[in-house]
Amino acid sequence: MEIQSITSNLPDGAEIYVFGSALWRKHPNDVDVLVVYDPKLCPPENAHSSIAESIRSLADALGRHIHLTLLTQQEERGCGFKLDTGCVPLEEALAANPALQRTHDKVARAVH
Amino acid sequence: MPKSNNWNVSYSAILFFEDLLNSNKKVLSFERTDDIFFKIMRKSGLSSVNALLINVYTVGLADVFRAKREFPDLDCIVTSSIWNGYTIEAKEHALDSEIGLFVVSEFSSALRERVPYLYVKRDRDGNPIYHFKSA
Repeated sequence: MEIQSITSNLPDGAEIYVFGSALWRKHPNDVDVLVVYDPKLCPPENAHSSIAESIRSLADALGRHIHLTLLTQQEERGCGFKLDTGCVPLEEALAANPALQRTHDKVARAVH
Repeated sequence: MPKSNNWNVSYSAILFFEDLLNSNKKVLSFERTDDIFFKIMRKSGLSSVNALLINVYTVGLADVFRAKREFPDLDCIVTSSIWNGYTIEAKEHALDSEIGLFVVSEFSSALRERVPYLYVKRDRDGNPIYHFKSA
């Protein structure tokens, strides 16, 4: 499973980030993920079900449990989540942490 | 006993929550179903309370909608870690739905109230204190 296909399956306007120990740990127990979405394009009442498949695919691709935080754009701005946690976009996180990247590459090779 | 569930609550967090309920003077007894859903019977003629224990760093609107869908008899949502919190939008939507959205310490105090979902922690001057914060 390519990470790009996971992110492209997110609802329009949604962005996915990684924060916490998965950014630097070699073997994180889980991966802390933030998804920020536009409530005009993805109503909050449907947000969990709209991203569930992408999150399952990401967990499979990384071989790790995903600990999800799911916020509207306004909620994220209101609590400053990205700033407080030092979130980085998923693809940057994969590039920054060789351990996650190796998992990603291994899965990609197995699929193709 | 599963180590976790689809709300990321660890078994140790469940045990901690059970200890908290056992030590609360208003709690008569409780039953746990679906791993993380607690029906709490209270003393002194107080109503029972259905509480969902979750572990979300910052509980958002989407989490409240999901909790309501998965647990229609919900009275309170409690996010487990002391580091956790919730957004203003999630708190307001929960209140509009007559559901309390709390961190653990707030919930413990809310159990003493006749209408737990309305509980608000206050400072010495009476100003409300909410756990509006991120991870």
